[in-house]
Amino acid sequence: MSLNELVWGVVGLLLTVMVLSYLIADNVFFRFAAHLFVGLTAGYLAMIIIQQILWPYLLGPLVAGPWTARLWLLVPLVLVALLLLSQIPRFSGVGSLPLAYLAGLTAAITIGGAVFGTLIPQTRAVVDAFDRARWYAVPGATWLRILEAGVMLLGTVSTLSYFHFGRKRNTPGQGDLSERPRLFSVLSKVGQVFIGITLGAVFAGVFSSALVALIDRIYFIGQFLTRLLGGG
Amino acid sequence: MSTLVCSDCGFENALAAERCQKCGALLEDVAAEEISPPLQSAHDDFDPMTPADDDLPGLLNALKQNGDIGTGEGYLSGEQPLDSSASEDIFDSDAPDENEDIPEWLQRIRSRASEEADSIGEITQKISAARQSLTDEQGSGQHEIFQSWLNSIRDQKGIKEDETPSGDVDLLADPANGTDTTDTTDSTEVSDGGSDWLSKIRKGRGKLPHDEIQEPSSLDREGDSLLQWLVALEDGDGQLTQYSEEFTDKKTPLVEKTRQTVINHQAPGDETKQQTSTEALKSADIKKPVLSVSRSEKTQADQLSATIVDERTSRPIREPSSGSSNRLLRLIFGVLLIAGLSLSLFINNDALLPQEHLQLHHRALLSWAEELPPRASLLLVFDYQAGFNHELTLVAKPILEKAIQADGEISIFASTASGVLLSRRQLGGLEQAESLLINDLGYFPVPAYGAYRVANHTLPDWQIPDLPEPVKSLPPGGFDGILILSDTYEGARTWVEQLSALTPGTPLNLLLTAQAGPLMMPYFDSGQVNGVVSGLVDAAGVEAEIEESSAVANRWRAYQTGTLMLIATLVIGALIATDWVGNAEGTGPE
Repeated sequence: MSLNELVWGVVGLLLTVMVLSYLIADNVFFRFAAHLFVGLTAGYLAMIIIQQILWPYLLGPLVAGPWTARLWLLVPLVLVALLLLSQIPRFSGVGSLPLAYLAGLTAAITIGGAVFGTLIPQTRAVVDAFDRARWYAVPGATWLRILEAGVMLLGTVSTLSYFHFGRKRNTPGQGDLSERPRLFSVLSKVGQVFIGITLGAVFAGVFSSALVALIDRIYFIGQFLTRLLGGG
Repeated sequence: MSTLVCSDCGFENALAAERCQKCGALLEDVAAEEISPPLQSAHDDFDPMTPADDDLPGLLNALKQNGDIGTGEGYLSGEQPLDSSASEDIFDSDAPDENEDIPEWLQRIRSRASEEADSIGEITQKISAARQSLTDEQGSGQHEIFQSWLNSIRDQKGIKEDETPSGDVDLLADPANGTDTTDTTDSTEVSDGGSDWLSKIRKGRGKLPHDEIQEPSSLDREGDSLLQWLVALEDGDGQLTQYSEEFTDKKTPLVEKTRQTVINHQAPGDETKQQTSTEALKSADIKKPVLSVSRSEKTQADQLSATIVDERTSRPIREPSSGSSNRLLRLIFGVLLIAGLSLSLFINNDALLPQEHLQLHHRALLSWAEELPPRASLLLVFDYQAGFNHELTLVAKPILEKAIQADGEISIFASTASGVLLSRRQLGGLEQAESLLINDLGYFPVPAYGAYRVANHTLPDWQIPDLPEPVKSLPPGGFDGILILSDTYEGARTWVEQLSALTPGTPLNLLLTAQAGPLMMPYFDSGQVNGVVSGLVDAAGVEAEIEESSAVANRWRAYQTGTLMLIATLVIGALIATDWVGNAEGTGPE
């Protein structure tokens, strides 16, 4: 075991034990490890942004790039200056321009991706599930395909119904109108089942990922101690 | 009128009389005389009276002493209101109801009035003059009484004219100071004497004669309200609120009426002041607060009041046993879990991986990796945090070793800050790492921007020639496949949305953690994604399929042990929690 491996192995062991000490109670060792993690992350992120973004795409071309590139780079430079200037209370309003630019750009990209990358393809997938050619494509699995298509349709409609919060038009003499229409009420009950199954699957996934992370830490500690004590 | 006047005593006798009714002398020689009704003849019936008007108060005083006429004190004290209609009714003999109670002096006046033609106007004048004299005579004394009364109220309650509501302060104004702000429709009549305050009070109480009251409705009520307000002021503030609410609820035009009349009669400089106070009164009444107390709030208030009452009693101290017991349980479970995982990891860890676990999306990914052409160009997207590096290493390593060729062209792209370092670590663990030619496209803070830019790299019209762009170093012919390594559903979805929509011909493959895998499966079902492997379970299946020994097998038994312990803990915890809830419902306070 080299000195580098030894030092970083000890550091990793101590930090792992510090974090696991939260099992006993919130203590100074856990807080130290948490603060150390946050501080390192912030510093690392700042250095990554400078190294990977600001220098190669803004500062470097401004220093050594051609004049046409410098002129183009004036646009982001001005936006950055406005964003920095907005931190001064007296000039807080000037930050709305770069923020509006970012918000508009993000919305355009995100909405475009959601519509053409999720809504339309997923809707088409539900419709294609009722393609009779697909039902008979695999011999012996026809009823399974039909059942799958039916469950998919029911899950889609019932889940959407669960998030339907409309109600009847307010007409006098029709009793309590605060409830949803009966059809949506029934479908929303079914939708709750599908949502529950989905959230259960997500919870199981989170559970599994956390368990694997814990196994990794135990495996690392075991391996390190074995090598340290065994002289490997 | 003809009479026989006795020559001896001068008594006037009727024409048919033979002897004097007074002295009994014979009236045979007495001639009849025509006698007009002299004014002094009334002196025989009204001895206290004198022809002069100054003697009329004496007459009235005499009548008052006999109890025939009520005193002004009685009126002022509220026992017998002085009404001018009474002075008119004494000559009204047509009222049948009053004949029974007509005093003797009134009958005499009426009889004289019926016998003497001029008696009505004369006596009326005398009565009016006597009433005015009486009023003037008692006015000064009553003025002092009322003034002292008002001053005492002001002194007790500290009321100032500026602080009182406008509708009430007018009638409280001291007439001696000349602050005549009252609605005086006949203000000229009132202001001509020293007893204008009495007229104000009369108007306020609605006791003025009808001929003096022109607008009695609102002002009379206002006067009553003033007195009620003053009484309430002496009784307490709560009644003040009551009267204030009465003003608001009835929505009478009282305040508005008063405000208008005050503006009409007050000095120009006081207009703004009075308006402001009136508006404040109106606004205060309109915005009457509504107190709504829910049941829970009432319960809390009761508990709080009980706590305050029992301030010195011993309070239940939060027992640390519950927290310590939870902490102890947590510690015990943590130690057991770590011990079980350690035993599973380091003792007899040659577990058998699940066979025939591969599903359609696993096989599709493996098939794509096996069918890649020589010198294939691949894009690897690193979109995960350091905490999930181990899991993703277990998931991705078999696939990467099969897909990445020694002479291939590899481009890496990071959409998380840690991905820059984790990519090097991930690729450094491959067998062919030393011979790899890696094109590092750098780091994009926002995954959507990076995905959009990568997907549009084939559109040269959008490129600015002199600007540095990472996508310029991408292979011109596109990629033979894209592998996305992500630990979250959101990150993976962003990449899939952009790339599947903009580069639908490029195969997308997902290497995910267990927490991101289930939500990305619909994209595989819709055909947007070529293959998916997520979590340790899928990795174990892939490893068993390719029959290569890796780290998954070493951890598989520990994974099974940990999963079993966690399930047992969840069940036990649910049962204990249910038992606690049941006990709390049975023994807890209602």
